[in-house]
Amino acid sequence: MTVEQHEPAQHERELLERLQHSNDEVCRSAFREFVERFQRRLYALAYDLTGNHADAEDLAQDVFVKAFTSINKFQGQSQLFTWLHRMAVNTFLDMKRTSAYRSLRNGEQFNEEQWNSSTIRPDAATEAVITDERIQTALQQCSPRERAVFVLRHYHDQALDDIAQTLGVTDGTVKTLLFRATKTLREALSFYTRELNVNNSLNTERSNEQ
Amino acid sequence: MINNQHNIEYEALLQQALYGSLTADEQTRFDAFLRENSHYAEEYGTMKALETATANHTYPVQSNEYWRDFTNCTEKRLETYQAQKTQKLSPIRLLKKSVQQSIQHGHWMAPVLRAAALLVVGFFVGRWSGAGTSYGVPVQPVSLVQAGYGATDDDLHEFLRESHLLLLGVMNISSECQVASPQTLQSQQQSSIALLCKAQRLRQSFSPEQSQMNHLITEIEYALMQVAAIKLQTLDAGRIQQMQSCSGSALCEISSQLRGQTMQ
Repeated sequence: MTVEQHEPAQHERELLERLQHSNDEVCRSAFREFVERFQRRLYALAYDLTGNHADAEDLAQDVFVKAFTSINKFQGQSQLFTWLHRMAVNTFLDMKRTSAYRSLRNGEQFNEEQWNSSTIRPDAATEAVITDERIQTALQQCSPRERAVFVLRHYHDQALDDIAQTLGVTDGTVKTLLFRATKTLREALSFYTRELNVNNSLNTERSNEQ
Repeated sequence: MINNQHNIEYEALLQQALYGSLTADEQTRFDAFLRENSHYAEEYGTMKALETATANHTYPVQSNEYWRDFTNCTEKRLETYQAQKTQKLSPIRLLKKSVQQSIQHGHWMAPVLRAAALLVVGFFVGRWSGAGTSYGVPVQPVSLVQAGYGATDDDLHEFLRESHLLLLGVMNISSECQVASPQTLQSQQQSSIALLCKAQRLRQSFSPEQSQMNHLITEIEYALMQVAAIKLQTLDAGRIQQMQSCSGSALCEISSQLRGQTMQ
């Protein structure tokens, strides 16, 4: 094990010990450090899952509180962020289910805007960013599980077996969900097929130049 | 029939090409499919392009000040959560907590509180140990799984079967001619709502180990909700497609679950 690998692991262990400490003061400062350490990565994941800033912020903060209050259940078999990561995906799926139930109970129709919304950023000028926005919008047409799987695979570069473990399903199911998500996206983005292909060839050129 | 079989084979190869790896033989067959059918080639091209396009994914850029606020807000959120939890504490937990705090801080009330806590605990232990033998008949502790497992298993099977039937019906709605009849849709909606209620009951009976089943139920619930929430006035081809996409996903999983149950 290299020094670079050893130090973060050691630091993480110390942080974990302080998070599990019985003294309130120690815990509080550890919690702050815990949030500061992982907030950017967790927010990025939450942003991909929810597709908008407000929900991403809410989900990430919720996960931090949940993680802290159940920190004693963390057995150290995985990295702290992997554990947070799993918790975020499952909290997102629960959140979606609960909100959908709530809409039903209130006799509302599914909020199309909520399901199909995307945040269009004013500085989104380049073609690539626009395509990214379209993919984000189209992702809303996938089921939350398909979306989660797609996001984990494509934006967070997770291996299929890691995704399977996070969701508690088999590798085969992950492949099927990914495939379905990709098909849904393809259909949703059929209007932009030409742009997609242009972007693709641009990317290929760029990578060839590098 | 041949076309359909071709399509199934092509889809399996396409899935492998995108998210797995093809053997040399499979690669040759897949290439042949792409050469012979321009639709397949176009589909594969777009799907592959989509994969590359995700590399351009960007996130909103946040300032350092934003991240400071984020940390502060998360801390406040934790405080609120803990305050709410304390309010919900039962008298026994409150007593335990105050005893612990008094002992930690060497409070003068500590011995009194400790005695009070022992009394309360003793009272409950006495009641609990006597409860099992009331009327002289030993009462076996009954777990939820022991009590309802068989019934839950049947309920689950029934739920899957009914959902399967309903979602098959949804898949048969033609997007061109919209809905066969409003009555059909209404009854499908009613069935969906009834099934959603069943899903909630089933979920409550699952043990934490049954997370896979929980996920399956979640998938079905999404599909059912799409059906239950339809309004005839706003139903269009896009909405039907969205509903069918969810139903299709759920149907695949139900089928494999039902197949698994039959094989057992």
